[in-house]
Amino acid sequence: MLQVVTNNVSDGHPDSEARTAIEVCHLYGLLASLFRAEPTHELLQVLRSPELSQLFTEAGFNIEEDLAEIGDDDTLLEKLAVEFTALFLGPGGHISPHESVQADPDGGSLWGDETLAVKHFIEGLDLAFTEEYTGLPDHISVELDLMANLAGHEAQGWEQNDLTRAANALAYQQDFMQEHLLRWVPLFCKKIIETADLAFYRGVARMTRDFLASEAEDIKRRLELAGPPPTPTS
Amino acid sequence: MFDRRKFLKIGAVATTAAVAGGVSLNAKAAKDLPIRGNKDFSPTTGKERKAIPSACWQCVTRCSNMGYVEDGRLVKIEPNINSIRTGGTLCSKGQGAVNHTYDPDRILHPMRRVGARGEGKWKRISWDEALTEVAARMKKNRDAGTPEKVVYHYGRAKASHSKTVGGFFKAFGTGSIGNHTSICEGGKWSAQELTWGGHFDNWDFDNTKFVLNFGSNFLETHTNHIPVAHRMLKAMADRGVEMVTFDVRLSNTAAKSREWIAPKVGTDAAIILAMTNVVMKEGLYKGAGEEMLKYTRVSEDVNADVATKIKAIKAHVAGYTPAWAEKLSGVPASKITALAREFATKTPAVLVTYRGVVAHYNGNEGERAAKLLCAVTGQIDKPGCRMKAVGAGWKFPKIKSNAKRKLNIFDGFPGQAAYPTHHVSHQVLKMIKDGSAGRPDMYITYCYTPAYANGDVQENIDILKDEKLIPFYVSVDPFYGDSTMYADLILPDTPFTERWTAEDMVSPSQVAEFYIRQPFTKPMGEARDFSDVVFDLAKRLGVDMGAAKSHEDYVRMACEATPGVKEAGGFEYMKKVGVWHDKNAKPQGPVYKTPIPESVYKAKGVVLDKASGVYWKPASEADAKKGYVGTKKAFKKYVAQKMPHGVFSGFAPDAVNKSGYLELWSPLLKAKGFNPLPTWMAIPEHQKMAKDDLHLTTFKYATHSHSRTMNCKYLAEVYHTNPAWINPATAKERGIFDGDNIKVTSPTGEFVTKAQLTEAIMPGVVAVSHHCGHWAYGRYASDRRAPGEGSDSRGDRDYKMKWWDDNGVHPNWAIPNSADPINGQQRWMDTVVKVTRV
Repeated sequence: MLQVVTNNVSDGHPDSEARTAIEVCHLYGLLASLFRAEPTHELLQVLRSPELSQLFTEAGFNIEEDLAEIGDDDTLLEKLAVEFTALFLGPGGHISPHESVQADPDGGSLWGDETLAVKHFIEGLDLAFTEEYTGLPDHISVELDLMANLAGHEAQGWEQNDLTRAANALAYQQDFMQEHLLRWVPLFCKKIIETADLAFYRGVARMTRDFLASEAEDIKRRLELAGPPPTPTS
Repeated sequence: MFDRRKFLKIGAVATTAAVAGGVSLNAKAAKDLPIRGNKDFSPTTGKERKAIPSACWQCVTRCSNMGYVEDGRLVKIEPNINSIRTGGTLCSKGQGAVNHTYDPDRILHPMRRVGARGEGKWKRISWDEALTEVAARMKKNRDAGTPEKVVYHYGRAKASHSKTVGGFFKAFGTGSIGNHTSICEGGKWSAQELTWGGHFDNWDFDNTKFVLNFGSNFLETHTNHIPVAHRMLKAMADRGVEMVTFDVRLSNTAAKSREWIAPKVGTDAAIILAMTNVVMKEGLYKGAGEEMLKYTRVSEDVNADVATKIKAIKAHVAGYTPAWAEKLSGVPASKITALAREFATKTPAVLVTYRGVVAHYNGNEGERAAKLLCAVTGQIDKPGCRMKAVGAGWKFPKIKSNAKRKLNIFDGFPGQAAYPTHHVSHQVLKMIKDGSAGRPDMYITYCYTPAYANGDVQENIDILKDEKLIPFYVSVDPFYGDSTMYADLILPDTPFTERWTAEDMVSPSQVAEFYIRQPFTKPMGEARDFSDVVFDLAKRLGVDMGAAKSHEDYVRMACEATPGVKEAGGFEYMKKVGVWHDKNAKPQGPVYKTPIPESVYKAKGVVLDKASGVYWKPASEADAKKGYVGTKKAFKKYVAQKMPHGVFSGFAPDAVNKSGYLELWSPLLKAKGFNPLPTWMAIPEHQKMAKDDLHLTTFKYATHSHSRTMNCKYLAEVYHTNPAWINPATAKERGIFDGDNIKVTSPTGEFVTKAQLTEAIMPGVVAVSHHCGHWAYGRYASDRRAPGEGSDSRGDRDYKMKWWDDNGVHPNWAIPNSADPINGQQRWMDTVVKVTRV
């Protein structure tokens, strides 16, 4: 059974909650970028920067070590790209990073009901897909981007001491976490952990799974702190 | 192990563009998130559907809801997530209501009967013709000085509906206005009015630690169903609150309980009295019970101290031992004792009672006994217990009443019920037949199906068909139903999906919620909301309806005049959001403890009635001499209650001349020859049962109301036939096997249905649900189309997929119309029957 230490750096003060929300926002962004495509040189640089690398190790994820096993940068990027393709793109047996496929235990189709539900959720927030993005609405990177976006709004709420705004953004996060992410991502990560050749992607999957579990709990705490979410015209 | 604290630090530095979020998404405009709320999209076009906040009407709970309209068509109904009453939940009935609007057997035009009553021959007429005819008949009666011969009988009319439609008839001059509450839970309400004043109780599941439930299937159906059901489930899931349910049948509520206990039919009152005996004998009243008794009356002496009261209660319940109750109920004395202790000590606890207790000959006493048990354990009107309910107090525009005359046909035959404060509606047709209290010249029903909803169906039909008894019958109904078919004139009402209302139902959060119903779509065909039609009739008859010009106008005025709603944005706000409550309001707590200052109870005109201890303001010297209890409608002049420890707001009366105590010793009942304290009353029919007789009881499933939902195809598909539940042991004695056809016979009538053998019903009982066995009400309910204009050409493509032929049976053919002798409640659960294999 997964054990999660949920103790938080936050102390309930809006400034501290704002900091937490910003960190959460960035972590969602980081995870989204890891699932969006095979790592680039730039991403690799960031991950291997001494500061971040140290923090990963402290948090129990030895990324530096995982990556060092593979070889020099070019080999590494090549191997990561091959692994990314085998894991998430195919052809042939792969672990589709789309909710509509994973949500159905028998294997759903692309552009399923869940895809539509995510699309509607996003449009309901007055958000649109960027021109660069040509994938499906329920790709895991989009879902994590969406959470990053919402956590960003939450952070602004805390920063401005506008608890209603924070609560509104948190309520959305809770909805999306419960209605979408938790319904498929833990199983998706389990499949990656069982399948991936490289420790790197097993680590990414563990990070994602554990972070979502911890966020699901912490959202409740932050929501309670922020108070009831607003009604449409309050 | 995942350490969140350490992991978050990564987020603090992972800020470069390479890893920042938002790559796939952009805000459409630089602005904040929209406020979270109900949204829905077309699965085919992806277009956002128009979301309209409104309110349900499938049952009397009247939950806030949200209708989604696509291209002018209502496509879906969901909960309104902003409602504090429902917590953003809605039952299947509410969601299935989408079928009402497009029911292929809706009546879309006014229709005039051309054949014999019930023959089904109709002629379409215009609204002008219809209303001219109605107005002429009303005018004739008014001119003749007999406006009371215009009888308006409704099944459900609430809040602004009640004010406008009822207001119209009163302003016209008739007081002959009836409801159908006695077939619901009028008995419970009357019993509460006799004891604590105020008819409704709220069960505070949000704060309770234990629930003792007698005869309520509130997880499936209830007067305030979803608001209390979802709270109970939350209490169970979040706080592990346990419930024990007494019911002859394993309802889904009983199934969700820690224990299901099946007492013999009609013996709940005995068990509750025996629990009181345990509490008194074991001193479990000490503390909270003693405090409550300060505000409770248990003897004639209104100045009695607590010790004297305890003595009086002990003496009264001394004979009601658990062993005595075991003999009557079959429930072991040890179980009664253990539950009494648990209820008294696992506080705060809620005592739930409903039709399993009150729809009996001894229902009034069952409810009063429940109040006694709550009082001695100190569990009345405080958080976590049964509390006085809180509803929305709208400021409605006034419509002046001119009703000075009425036919005395609503409260049963003389002597039939002592205090029928919610009337004896199931006897109205019988009283019309009897004629001794007069008969209507014109009988108008609204949201009411007297033939189907009451007991003794055959007699109801015979009376409705008899033109000598009812010369002119007008049915106001959206559908061609089991009673509408006998009308002379049908006025096509809108289903609730096309109506306005300012709504007010009780909020279990103890904070009032104001909410409105607004049309999802425009009325179909020529259907018109009767609340609008009365404004039209008023013009024709010169009746003053006050300042409003239509029902929508009336609702708008209420929104603009009601404090809080007005400041929030009034009518426009309510149209947009649907609900409003005061976010700063504290939940209403105990109402009876407020000390009243001398300046109030010693004000000019206020006198003390020594017999009751009530400070009141008699209208005249003569009234003052007659005294508070003996003066007609003196309760309206109540000011405060004198008690030995001060003068308090008390449990103020609102329907009868009770004192301001929690009145468990009732001078009113004493005056009518009943025991003034809650007392066991044996059910006469049950005392003379033959060996092979069985009890017939009724119940409801979660997907249907009593009479108004079987036309909804989504709901009919889920549940449409109702075999009789019978215990295998009982069935074996009669040679009945599962699935056999059986005949259920009483002196009133009979019906044939299938036997469903199940251990989920106690031996000696046969239980049949309501809802089914319609002989009209459209093709989904009865396989019979509505006759008349339009129905042949109007179809429903789903009908050919209706895969069931068995539309079930209606138990009311065999259930008599009988009344609780105190409050007049229909005794649904007292019928004795014989059951044989066909």
